[in-house]
Amino acid sequence: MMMGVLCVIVRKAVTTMRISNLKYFIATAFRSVFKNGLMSMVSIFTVVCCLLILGLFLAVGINVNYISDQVRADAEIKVIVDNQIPDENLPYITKQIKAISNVSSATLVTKTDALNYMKTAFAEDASALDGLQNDNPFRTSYKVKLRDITHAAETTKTLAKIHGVAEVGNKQELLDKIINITNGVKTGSVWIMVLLSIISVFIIANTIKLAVYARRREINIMKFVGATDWFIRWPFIIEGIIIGIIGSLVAFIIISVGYIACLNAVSSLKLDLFTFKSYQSVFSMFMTTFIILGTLIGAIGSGLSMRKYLEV
Amino acid sequence: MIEFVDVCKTYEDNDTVALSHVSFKVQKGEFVFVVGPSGSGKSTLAKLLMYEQTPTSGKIYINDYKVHELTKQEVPYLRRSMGVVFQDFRLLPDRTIYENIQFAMQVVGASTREIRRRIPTVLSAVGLTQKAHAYPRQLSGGEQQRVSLARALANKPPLIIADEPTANLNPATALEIVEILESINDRGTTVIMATHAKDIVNKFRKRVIAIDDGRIVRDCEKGCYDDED
Repeated sequence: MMMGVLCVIVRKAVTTMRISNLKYFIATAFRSVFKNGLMSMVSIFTVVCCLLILGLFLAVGINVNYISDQVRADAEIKVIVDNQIPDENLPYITKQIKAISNVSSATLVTKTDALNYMKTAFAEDASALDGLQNDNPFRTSYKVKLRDITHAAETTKTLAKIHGVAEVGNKQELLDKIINITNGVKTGSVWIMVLLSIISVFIIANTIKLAVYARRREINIMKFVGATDWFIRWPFIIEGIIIGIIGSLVAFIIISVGYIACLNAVSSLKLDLFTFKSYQSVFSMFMTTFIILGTLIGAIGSGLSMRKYLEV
Repeated sequence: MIEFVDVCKTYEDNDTVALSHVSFKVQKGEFVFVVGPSGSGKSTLAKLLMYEQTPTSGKIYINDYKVHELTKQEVPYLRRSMGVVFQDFRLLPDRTIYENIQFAMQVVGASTREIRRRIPTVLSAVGLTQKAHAYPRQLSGGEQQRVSLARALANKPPLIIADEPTANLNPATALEIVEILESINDRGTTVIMATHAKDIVNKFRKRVIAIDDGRIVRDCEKGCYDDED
């Protein structure tokens, strides 16, 4: 039923859209945007504000995701093997660890490996470790990487049950924090986006309402001359879309400049813990999101006004 | 061309009976004055013709449209079949004469070619070729009304409806406007003009439908405003 009504509306709307009319619609819409300059500016400004805040959240969200992915990829669980277990049993333990479905890889680090690693780390002072060769204080361990970090708790328990495992290092708290932040940013940005879109829609609706009012004589004449409803509506809808698109382009430029500035600032800090998404990898996402949302906000805003104030 | 069958119109907001049981016919090519004092219902009649109002009961046929059962989608097409002229001209002040007429053609989807050909023709029909690029405020009232006549003619309607077209004009100018309407009528267009200008109605000797208190009190060929005839 709903779909049927929608189809009829779309068909009627589209049949009015002939090339000769289209030129008229766009010209009229642009003229109206300029004529109601102040209100248009205000509407564009609100669209820009909304999209900027949305962009900010998107940028933060994407990068928190990106960084947490990096941290997750690095996050490994350390499984320490009981000192009493003879080396012959290690392949058996390896097998059991790798058998756990959530384990993506398990690297064996023997006592000797650990000592050698320390030696390289100490570099010139490595001689300090010389005496340890025969009485190695390090313990054999595994570096275990997980497939899905969210199931880390269960995997940790399973690992602890393996015979010969003395201890399982637990990074659960850190992982939980990362997951919480990511989810928080995700839901937060969705809600803010919804809220700001609604605000923009109403401000654009108001602008279009004023545009309709400013052109009431024209609309009256159009009706008496025999213009179809859609012929009268289209210029206003296009006007809303123009406002939305101009707003989204301005917001895109501002967010681009801001993002690049942030990247430069961060890279000058020389943090090698993690990196941010490059501008090249995010700009098309920003562009499409902004333009789609801007167009939608504009179209819905003017559509609202059409229903209420343009009794044609 | 036009037929009213037992048409009644009651305004719901104040329960006024504007027209009661009005029936008449207008043939193609006729020139009809609808006369009556203000508040008689002649303005309501004009509004029914333009579909600015819909009848409370009865049937109205205009140019093959059953106006009483018109759907919302058909309204624009009914209106394209008539040219309308108002007392207050209704021109767009920020556009030239040419653009005003162009606008009326654009909204019904005329091509640029058609528009370019048609506008000089209608401007010369009302004698305003020289003023094509003037703005409405630069014209006299009579000239402005001639522009709105040209606009009404632009889409070649078979019917022109003029609601008190001379009410804001001085007698000489008013006469000019009706003369133009007459010449339009001579070329085959049906003209219906609502007016209370006695002298004009008496001078032109056309069919007169007189309305008083919402009823047709008189309908005569080559009639006069008052009923000595």
